[in-house]
Amino acid sequence: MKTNDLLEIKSLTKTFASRGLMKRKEIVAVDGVSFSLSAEKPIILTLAGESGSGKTTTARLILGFIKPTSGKIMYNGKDIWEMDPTEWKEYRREIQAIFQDPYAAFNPVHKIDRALSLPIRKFNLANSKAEEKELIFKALKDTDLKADEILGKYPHELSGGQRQRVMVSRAFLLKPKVVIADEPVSMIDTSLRANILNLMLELKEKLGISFLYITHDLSTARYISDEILIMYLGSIMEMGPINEVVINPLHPYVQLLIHSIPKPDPDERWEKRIDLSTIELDSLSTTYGKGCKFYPRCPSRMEKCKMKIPELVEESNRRVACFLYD
Amino acid sequence: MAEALLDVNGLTTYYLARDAPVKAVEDVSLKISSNEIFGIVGESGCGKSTLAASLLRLLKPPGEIISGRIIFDGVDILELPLKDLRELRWSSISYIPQGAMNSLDPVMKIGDQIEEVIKVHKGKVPKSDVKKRIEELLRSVGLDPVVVNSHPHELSGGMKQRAIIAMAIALSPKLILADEPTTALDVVVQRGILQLLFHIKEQLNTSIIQITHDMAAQAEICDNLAVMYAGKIVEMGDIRKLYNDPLHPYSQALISSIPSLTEEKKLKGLSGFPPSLKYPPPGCRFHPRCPQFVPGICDKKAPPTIDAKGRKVACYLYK
Amino acid sequence: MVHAGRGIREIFRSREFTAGFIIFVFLVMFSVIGSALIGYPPMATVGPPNLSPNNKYLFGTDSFGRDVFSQILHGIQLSLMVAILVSAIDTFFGSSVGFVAGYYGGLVDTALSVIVDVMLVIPLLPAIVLITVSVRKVELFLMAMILGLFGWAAPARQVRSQTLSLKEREFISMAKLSGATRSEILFIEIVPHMLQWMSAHYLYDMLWAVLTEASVEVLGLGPQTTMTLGMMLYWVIRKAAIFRNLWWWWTTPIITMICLFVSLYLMHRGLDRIVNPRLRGRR
Repeated sequence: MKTNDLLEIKSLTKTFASRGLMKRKEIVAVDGVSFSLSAEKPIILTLAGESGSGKTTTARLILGFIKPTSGKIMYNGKDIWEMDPTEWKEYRREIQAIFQDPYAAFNPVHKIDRALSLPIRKFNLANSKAEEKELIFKALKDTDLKADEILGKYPHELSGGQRQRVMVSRAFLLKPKVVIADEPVSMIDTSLRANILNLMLELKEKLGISFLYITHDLSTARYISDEILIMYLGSIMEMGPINEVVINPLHPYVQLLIHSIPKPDPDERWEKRIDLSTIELDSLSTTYGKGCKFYPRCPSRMEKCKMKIPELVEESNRRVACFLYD
Repeated sequence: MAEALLDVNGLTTYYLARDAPVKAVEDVSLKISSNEIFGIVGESGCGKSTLAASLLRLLKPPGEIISGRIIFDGVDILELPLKDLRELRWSSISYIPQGAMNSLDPVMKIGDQIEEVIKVHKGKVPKSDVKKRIEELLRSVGLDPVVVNSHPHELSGGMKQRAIIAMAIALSPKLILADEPTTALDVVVQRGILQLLFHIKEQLNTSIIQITHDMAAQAEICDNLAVMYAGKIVEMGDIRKLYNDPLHPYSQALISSIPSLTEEKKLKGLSGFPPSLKYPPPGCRFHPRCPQFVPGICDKKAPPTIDAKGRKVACYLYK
Repeated sequence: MVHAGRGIREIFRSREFTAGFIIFVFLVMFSVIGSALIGYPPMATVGPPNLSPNNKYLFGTDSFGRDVFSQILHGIQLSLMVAILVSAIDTFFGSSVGFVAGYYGGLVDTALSVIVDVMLVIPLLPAIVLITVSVRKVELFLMAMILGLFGWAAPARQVRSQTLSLKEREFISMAKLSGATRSEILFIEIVPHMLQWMSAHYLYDMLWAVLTEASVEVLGLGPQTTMTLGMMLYWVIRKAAIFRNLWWWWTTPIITMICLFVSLYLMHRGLDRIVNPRLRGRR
């Protein structure tokens, strides 16, 4: 709870009510999530999880696109939903995003230049048309794009890789404080991912921008992040420095996850065959009962796991939500 | 050297267009034996899906096979009359296209869909036998037989994919073509499916061709691998040799761009973007992005595929 | 902003649209030039009734002694004017309602949606009958207004649902992150996206207007003092022209209307083909 936190998420909860024909089902997409990004030095924090973990909803909450059911999102000590219009505009400028789908992120009706020129105009980053042009050219150059190949074109005239780089150029241009990157490379070819990831590292090192990197791909997460937070069905299971979590995972879910990641090394293959039935249980049950959410699938589960939800406790330089360590 | 189960020779497939054809697959040759998992890896626009569809003549117009031979178990697929080809599909070679799990009939029960596959290709079979077979199939892919009465929307992604695999092995084919079988599935489920495919190869003596861009997925289960770029196979051979010592500059770039969970390594990506297949670059199609490009040689004629270090490579760096 | 020039070239690449457009232009030119050349108004009694086509009256005369050819020429113009007016009301007003309801949501959306749903439920014909009966004298302009009243709800519905789904697209999030205000997003990001659909719908609505107007008139609910194509058919029936074998009087309006429908239909089809793949997302 330091006061020099750039971004602080406090017990963030978001519930969606699905209006079924007969009954109203409530889905708790994000369940009491808390973490923070320090203002002291730039950091890349990974929010990892599989589908249904709530990571994308968390991103949308932080970006202010949806309102939390409860909990707070504090930016520089101020709750974003209590900001006045000036503070909100500042928030909009300083928190930016890179989205997953390079095809959906640009309006097909406008030329791609607009993605770069609009924010310049709205945030008054340039004093003249010439200055605006200069800023755009530089931003494109920063991501190794040739302006004459990009400007004046419509989104569908560019490749997915080019479009994604334009999104990154936008970040170079705006120089925000935090970038929420939601699966920025999952729809890009493997051989081009490194370029985008390296650009993100450059943004952090040269421009001091912090990232909230949202992904299900732990290998890319390890490449660029400092810390990681693993979510499962809306709750944080384990969080801490990425090297430690990945090499020596404590939470049974995280262990399962890490061991299921295919290794790109044919000499090191999986030894044990995974029991497919445990996967089935996960999808068919949505028991938001009193206990730990991973209880149905956990190989180390105990009686007490069914009764109470485990809190995050400190253990070996990180925090785990598991009674094995309580 | 055992007789090849599938022998593809000089396969060329284009998508015809008014101005110029899209040269999706250019002079591709490969051999697959029985009891083998063969991976075809490549990125967007490399032609791997077109290659898969060509093998069973399932191309959608304007796609057309221009030349080549596809010999499966002694039979030339390209010369087969349609009736025999239809019989070959599913019973000898089955195909799991990309996104198959989303193409399940939403109004039919899973059991009925599997039954349909069996009936269409095997004709009249006694009802009790079919029921038993379906239960057997579902169990073999790790699904509880109660799933027979479920509809697709009641199943998770992983379960649907397993139902698809059950259909694919229903008639005990000798070869399964799986196009991106684990994309869009969660990591843990992905592991289950990959291991299932491996298990099928071991137990049912079925060969599998896995087509995907995911290098790690290939590494976990394949015996041999072919690397495709811009419609051509640039390197092909034993997967261990390929990963540990990639010969073609594209294979090298691909492998050095895979992030590792355990090692610290600096990732390097390729510069540039994949070429247009309508007007591909002259000579070696990779030369504009190749860090070892030699002007005068690489941009004149396409490199021939030669044997080097126990593999096949198409690169002038090797003799 | 909107790539109009490029779009127009692409529209004409569609053979259907071009074919429809040619027929349409021909009909318009034909009627405008033709009616200018004829000295007298279409309702004027110019000669002996029931004359078959001859040198003086190309399509002969009707049972009132009026020039059928002249009536056809004017009829085309009238039908088109009504269609253009009705379509303008329906498409623009309906779309505006749809945008506002879809984008701003909340109470505004609920209120507007209720009105839209009510309008969609009211049956067209009985309502028109009621209105025309209560208004003693029906004029063409009034007819256009009534048709407009019943046509705007459908595009409103469609535009609303399109807007609702567009709202969630990532490029809208991008615009928000670039500092765009709510109105800017509506008018600059969402509306241009829909312009193509709106133009295709405009043509569809014209077709609907021509058809509905003609049907209403044939049934006898139309303006008695104006001779539109539909009214011609009304009089054809009243005067038993088919039995009396006055073929020039009943075939000509029917053929003209078919030409009109076909041209509008082809243009609509051509535009629709272009609009739809875009909505599905082009690569």
